[in-house]
Amino acid sequence: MPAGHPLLSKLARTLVLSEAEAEAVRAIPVESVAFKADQMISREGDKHSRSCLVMEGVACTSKVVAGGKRQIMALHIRGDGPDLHTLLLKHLDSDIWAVSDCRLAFMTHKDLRTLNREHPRLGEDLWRTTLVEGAIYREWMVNVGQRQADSRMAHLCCEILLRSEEAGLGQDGTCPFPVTQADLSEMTAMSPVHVNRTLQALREQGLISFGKGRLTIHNWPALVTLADFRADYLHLPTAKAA
Amino acid sequence: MPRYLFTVQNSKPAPDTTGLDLAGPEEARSMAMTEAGEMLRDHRDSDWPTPEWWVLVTDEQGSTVCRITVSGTGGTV
Repeated sequence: MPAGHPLLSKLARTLVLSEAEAEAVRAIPVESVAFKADQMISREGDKHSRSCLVMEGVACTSKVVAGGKRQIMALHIRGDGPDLHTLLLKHLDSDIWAVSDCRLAFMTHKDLRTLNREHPRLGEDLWRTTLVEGAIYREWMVNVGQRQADSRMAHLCCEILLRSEEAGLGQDGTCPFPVTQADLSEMTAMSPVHVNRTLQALREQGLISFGKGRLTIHNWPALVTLADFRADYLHLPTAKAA
Repeated sequence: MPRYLFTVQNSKPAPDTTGLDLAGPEEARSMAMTEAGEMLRDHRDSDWPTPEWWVLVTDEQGSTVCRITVSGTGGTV
């Protein structure tokens, strides 16, 4: 993550902060914690007294059903707050895992509540980010429930590239995507066999390359058409002055 | 873990050159069932591209673990 306070970097994506607002954010202490790939960050049922932002790497929100199969419902990249909702909800209702090696910035709920109370515009922006997460969950439900395998995978690729670009991670059609085919299987509700075949088909059509922790999109218009992708649900920001 | 190869024949043959490491033949059979279902789902809006589709699972020695065949014919209406 760029140097500076991680919450400041996040808020500055959507807001032009006043000096007083920026000072209040800088005053919030941050504990930076590293997690290894496939390490659990938080467990369903946990009661949190602090929330985190992703600084580096990829984390996910997931649930395990009876029989042990896991569904990944959301990916969290730089600047995302996987458990921001625990500021208001009593316990975590799903697991949070590190998909790749990650670094997270933890801040106490007490400090975040004080910030929200004293600077309501910043509180509204944090609220907004949880609403955007909700919009992404809705789109993932449509993706998994209704789109065919190639469109489903293409949609995920389109989303990851745009979100990465917004987070300052992607450019020129390429971005980090440090996930395995097993992870993709759990994101798209496809079997690993079908994930492999689908990726191969997208590669053969000259649409994407995927491997060594990176995603490259070679033909954006064609991929968007295949994916039935409309980016409005991402509510990509344009910074607003105080 | 043993490795299993999933060769698929639908609109065109798709041999599996990498395979998948799984706990054993039961998991491989379960995976083949899922794959057959996903093949069908992906073609739900199109005509039958070939008279017969199949998923063949073999182990690394080439022995057959299972073969799932899907066939269908259109009616007169």
